[in-house]
Amino acid sequence: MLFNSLTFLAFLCVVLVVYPRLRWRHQNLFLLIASYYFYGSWDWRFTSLLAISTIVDYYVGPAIHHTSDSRKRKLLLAISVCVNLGILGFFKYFNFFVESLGSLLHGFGFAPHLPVLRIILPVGISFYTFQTMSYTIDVYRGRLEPTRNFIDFALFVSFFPQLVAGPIERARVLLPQIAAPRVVTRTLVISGLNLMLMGYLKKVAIADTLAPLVDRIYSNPAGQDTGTLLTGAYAFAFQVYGDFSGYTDIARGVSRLLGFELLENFDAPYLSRSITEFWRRWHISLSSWLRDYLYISLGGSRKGEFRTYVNLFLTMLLAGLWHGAAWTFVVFGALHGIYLTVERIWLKNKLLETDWPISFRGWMRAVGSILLTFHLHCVSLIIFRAPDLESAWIYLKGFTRIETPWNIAPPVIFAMMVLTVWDIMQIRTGNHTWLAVLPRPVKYVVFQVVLVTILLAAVHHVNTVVPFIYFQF
Amino acid sequence: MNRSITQRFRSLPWLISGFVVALLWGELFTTILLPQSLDIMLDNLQADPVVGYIYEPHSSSAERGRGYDVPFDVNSLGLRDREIPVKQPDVYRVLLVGNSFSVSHGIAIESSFSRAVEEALNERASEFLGYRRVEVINAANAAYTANNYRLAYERWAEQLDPEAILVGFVAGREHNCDPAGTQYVVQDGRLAGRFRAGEKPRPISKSPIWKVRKFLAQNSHTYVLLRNYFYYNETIDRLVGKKDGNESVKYLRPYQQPLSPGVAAGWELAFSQLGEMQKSAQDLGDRVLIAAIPEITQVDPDYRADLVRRSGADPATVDKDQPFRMLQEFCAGAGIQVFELDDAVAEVHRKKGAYLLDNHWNELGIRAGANSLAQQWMKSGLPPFGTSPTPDPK
Repeated sequence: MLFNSLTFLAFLCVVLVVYPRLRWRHQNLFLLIASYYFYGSWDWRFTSLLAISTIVDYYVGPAIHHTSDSRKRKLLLAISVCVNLGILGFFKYFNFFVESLGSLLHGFGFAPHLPVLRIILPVGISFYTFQTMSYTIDVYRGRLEPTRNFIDFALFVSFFPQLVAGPIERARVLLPQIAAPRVVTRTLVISGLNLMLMGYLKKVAIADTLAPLVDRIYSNPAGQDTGTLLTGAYAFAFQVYGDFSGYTDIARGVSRLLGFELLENFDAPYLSRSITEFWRRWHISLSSWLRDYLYISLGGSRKGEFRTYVNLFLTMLLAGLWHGAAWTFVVFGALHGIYLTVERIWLKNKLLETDWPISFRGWMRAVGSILLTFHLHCVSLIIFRAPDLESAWIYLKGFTRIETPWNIAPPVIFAMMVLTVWDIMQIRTGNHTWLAVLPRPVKYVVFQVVLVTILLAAVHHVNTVVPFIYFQF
Repeated sequence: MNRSITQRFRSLPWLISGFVVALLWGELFTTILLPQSLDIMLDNLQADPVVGYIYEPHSSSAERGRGYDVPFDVNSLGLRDREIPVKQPDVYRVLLVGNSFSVSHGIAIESSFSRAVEEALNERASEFLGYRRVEVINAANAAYTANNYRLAYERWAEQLDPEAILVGFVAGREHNCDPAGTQYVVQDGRLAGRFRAGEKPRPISKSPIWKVRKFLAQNSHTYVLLRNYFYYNETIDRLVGKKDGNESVKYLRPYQQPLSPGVAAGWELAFSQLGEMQKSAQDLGDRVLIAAIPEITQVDPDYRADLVRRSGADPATVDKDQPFRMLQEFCAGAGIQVFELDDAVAEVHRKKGAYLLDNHWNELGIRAGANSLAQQWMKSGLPPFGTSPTPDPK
């Protein structure tokens, strides 16, 4: 059940009609049933995985909390981590590791017959696994009291707006909202609808319009000229941004209609002046999760310069692998690890300025940094999007030929303009729903323009519903 | 409360002007980012007592659509071709009849199917003893059916004296054949209606709404997008139980098994017209040949799969070869040579694409089809190819 389908809109209507008529506790039960129905609409078998993670962590949390024996606490934490990562590893990475091992052994002259399983990857497994793990780790670290209500906890793991593609919520943020009655105000509803509208614009009018162009270029990079390759690189950069941040906006908007406030996941990432800043603005819930539960657990920057670089690199490598079981994702992560390490060694975070410059020179330097950061990210995205490393290499090699480099297709220019203006407005107003604070006449025009754009794009793409890119992760 | 109503009323002009801006933006948005195939604007037809309609002689216009903008010049006979000279003894003349695929919709005349076939045949035939220069005359017209093919042959046979009649037969579409005696109404340079024998041609409506719709269909990408969605929408058709209105079902029908009675009857009608043409040709000592032109449905598995999905058909019931097989069966009995062009077109389609966005074949498709046709023609040993190649002077 995709957010950009009529089925989802019908499902949401039912939820929004029933939900306000229920008492708070019944609301939670109803949302839990709705969330399992939502997840089960892909494949009912997947709900059992969700249930296993939920049950294990529901019982492990209080057990850790009530034990003072550090060995026992560690053991309980290990059980939770092993079950969650075991499910994730089996469903997502088993075949990848087996195939990679097979290739390695083949390279040494062996011809092993290793089993490759026909496994369907459950949607959003990486998201909810990380989310539920954050609960157990926070309880272990003593930062969170375990919940005693199973319905509340099950809803925290399966809350449908953010179940399949995040934001990866922290238990200490979402659980208290579940455990207390929500108040759905008019302002909250308006801002929720506003967010949903923006999300659909980004997804349907931008990402889905770019999708055919991206598919065409990436399917045959060898046959494209430099201008087309550049178009493809930019197009995918804006497609993935529109797609993922669009999903997040819809998820946050839907949550607001239900009285919940989810984490921000994107904060004008393509206006970042360094890769470090980029990761503070892009997929914030994942990067902060990795920082809090992996980078810091590895020692962070507390164990000397060299270990810091190693920790940074390892964290980004795993961030890459989190995206999928393929070498392209590993290299994507490794490349970002290198970017961050180099930035830390040579630039010492000089580019990480919090305020925007005032002088013309400062502005020029900022624009240069933004462009450099964006293009470095584009290079990594080429590897991310390519079906394999060989195709990625062919794509990148294509830039060594200098032919018609400025042949950028109109959908890319449109996406670039809309998303950049959108992000500048977001930074200027400090508000994700800045449309609502515009002067009334402008607001009427902009709302109708946005609505017409979404409807026309939706009608155009009606026979080719494009799934959200991050659903596969 | 009154204040609130007054405030809302004050907002009305902004809402309305916002709506107008949104509509204008919508048109710009679809034109640049989601361009549609606007209706073809050609209005260069004229009634003809024999064929029903031909192009207006000496007319000059342009054919514009998504991805093409080509001049459309008509000769003094009403054919989309150069002026046809008096036939010389050293010329082997071929009359090409067919529909928009043969007339080469969206393609400049220099790259049209008739010219491509002419070049491909001359290139090969010149190597043979007794070579006569091949001339291919384009007597095809948009929306002609097998009924018109036969009539077009009768119309031009005596005047142009062809030795071969090449029928561009798009088997996937030919079941929409007009029966003999169909009357055609041409109005304002366009085909306005077809009426069966015995039917009284009705006056064609030209209401202001019709004019607005025509204008929008020819000029507005937003209108075409919305029209195509709401008027040709499989989901809406299914919801209202309009099975026949489902466009995908319509396009897929000739490929489905068991063969629907409507398609079977349509093909029978089309084949009977070919049979009639064959008889007339034999009487005049001419030869009927058929170029079996593939639709995109036949050569593109992804397109076919999408059509199957949208129509809700069972993929197992779809046979892409059915139209050509039916054609071959008929032609084997009638003694008509068929040249199948699907393999050659499919190969070029896989590599570079052989169709325009409105699913007519493009220049590459035409070139591949013409070369394949000439190759098969040469192998068949039929004129203009002699029985033996020119001996090597060495």
